[in-house]
Amino acid sequence: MLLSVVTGNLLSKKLRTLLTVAGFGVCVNLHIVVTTVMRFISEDLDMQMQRFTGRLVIQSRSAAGTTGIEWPPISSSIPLEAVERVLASDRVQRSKSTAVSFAVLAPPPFATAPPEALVVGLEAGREDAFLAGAPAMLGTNRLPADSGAAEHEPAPVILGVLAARYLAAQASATTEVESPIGPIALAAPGSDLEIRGAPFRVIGIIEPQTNQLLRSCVVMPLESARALLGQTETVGAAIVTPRRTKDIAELEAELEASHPALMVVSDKQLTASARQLLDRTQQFFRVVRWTAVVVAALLITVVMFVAVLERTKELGTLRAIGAPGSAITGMILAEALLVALAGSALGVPISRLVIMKALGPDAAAIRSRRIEAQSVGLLTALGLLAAILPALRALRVDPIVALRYE
Amino acid sequence: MLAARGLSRSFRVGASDVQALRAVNLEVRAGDFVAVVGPSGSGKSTLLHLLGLIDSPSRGEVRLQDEPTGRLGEEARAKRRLNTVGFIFQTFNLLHSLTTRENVEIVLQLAGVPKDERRKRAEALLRTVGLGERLQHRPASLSGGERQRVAIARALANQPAVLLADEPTGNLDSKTGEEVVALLEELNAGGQAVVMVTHNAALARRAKRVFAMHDGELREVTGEPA
Repeated sequence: MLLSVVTGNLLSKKLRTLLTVAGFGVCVNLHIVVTTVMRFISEDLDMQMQRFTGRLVIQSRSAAGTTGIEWPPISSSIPLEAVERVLASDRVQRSKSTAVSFAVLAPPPFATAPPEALVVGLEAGREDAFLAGAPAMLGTNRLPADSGAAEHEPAPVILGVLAARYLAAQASATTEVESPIGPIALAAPGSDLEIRGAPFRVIGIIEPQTNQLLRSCVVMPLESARALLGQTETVGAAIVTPRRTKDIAELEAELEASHPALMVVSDKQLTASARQLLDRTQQFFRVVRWTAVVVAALLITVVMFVAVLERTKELGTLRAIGAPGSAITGMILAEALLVALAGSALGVPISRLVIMKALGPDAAAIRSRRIEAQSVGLLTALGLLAAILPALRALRVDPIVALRYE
Repeated sequence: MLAARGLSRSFRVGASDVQALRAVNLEVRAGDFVAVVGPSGSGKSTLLHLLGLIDSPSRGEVRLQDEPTGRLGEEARAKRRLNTVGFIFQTFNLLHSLTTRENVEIVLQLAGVPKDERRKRAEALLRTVGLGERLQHRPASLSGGERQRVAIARALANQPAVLLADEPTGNLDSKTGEEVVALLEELNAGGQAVVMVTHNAALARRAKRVFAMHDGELREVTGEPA
């Protein structure tokens, strides 16, 4: 019966109820999306850094700005001759070390993410320096040894799944693969496409369960990438693996001493720099997340206060006929709970849609029921807490004053 | 059963105190039908609010079923209102989101009566007041007289010791008002104690005992010519 009074009150103000539910739903959606993105970025960074454990990145000093080390070193440019001397060191494991050039083809889908399509020029046979053993989902994960030898033949490219999706529209053939957001079309292995006017042929697609950087990569022979970028005497950077993992510190010291004009970035420095950048991003996300929580709580407080003031006569009547305080507060809290649950029922599916659309097929896999449950639980609990003040105000309704209401 | 002793009530209005009740004494016994008549602002409703434990006196005491009520806390007073007193208001004060039956059932729910029993009791009470065919109607679709009958059924739901009716015919036409008073008379004939406040002297004369209220003072006028 009391629940009938509560639902009756909600239904009697349909527009207000709808707007409140929608507002709460937006907050739930925001909280889930931001929490998921925070987790996605953090886990992706861990996966990227794991693949670079035991490696050094040699890049130009200008690429290290005040905000930390640039990764990937897209704006770095160093003389080819210097890179050749670095790679000639006895301590370098040549098969897992390569000169590398990067170029952005498509911007990142969200802050701190790598570009959606990123040209990565590598020396054929040295792909593991960058791919670190990431397997191919379709085709191969190896550039042919004679890459770029035939002048009029399209150069080979190995694509990450995001890059393959991005380039599908211009590929001569596509293939459909299943993803958490349903089937998606990718540039098919064997298909031809043009990148900045140069012909390429897709020879493989990297397995998506890797990290965002590998999902975005357009791996091509170093010479093709340098030609695209107009690098005649330079390359972007070098990725260097020591012969023995334990020699990494010595190799780092040797390279720093012998190449003072270059910046030698260790895996630990790279991780620390990336973490620092991530922390700043996470701080921003935390502010957004708590803003969603505060707005949801304020929304409930304001709406319930207005509802209590509007229902002075009803609440006073209930008090006059003997309703205990617990029944009055229970009604207000039940109303807040219904609004919060309805808002959550709206916000959760919206958040799923937003995550799938904004973060792409692989990010969608990270969507977690646990995050959804935690967000709904937190916002609902705070919504109820926020309704306590209006509920106490309802308790103070004087039945005599209420009975004078016409 | 219900007694007021030396009951006074003053209100602060601006800088001055307004004396609404002055040392009122009244005793309501089982089976009584008491009418309090007087002009608007004479203190009738204030007296009813004090008798029904909605308000607290500035001085004096209300005893309900021989229990002093002056020291009761708000929740204890709410419990006495729920179980011992039945209120009938001039403006009916029904809950518009509930059906006729639910408006009666709600007081039974507050008293902890199980669902099946409260449904039966609500329907029986509504049949008693002549609304057996209107169980699923909402207040907005009822006439004024019908709404007041629902309010009477609600007031009777927890079998109160006394019914307190505040201008129960004030918002009704004379014919419907007559029917409502007849219903109160019928309930009183069945043993239900009733205290009715009205400014209508003709209706007041239908009660067994009549009191006149003037400037906060109460005087019994039973049997005196109007």
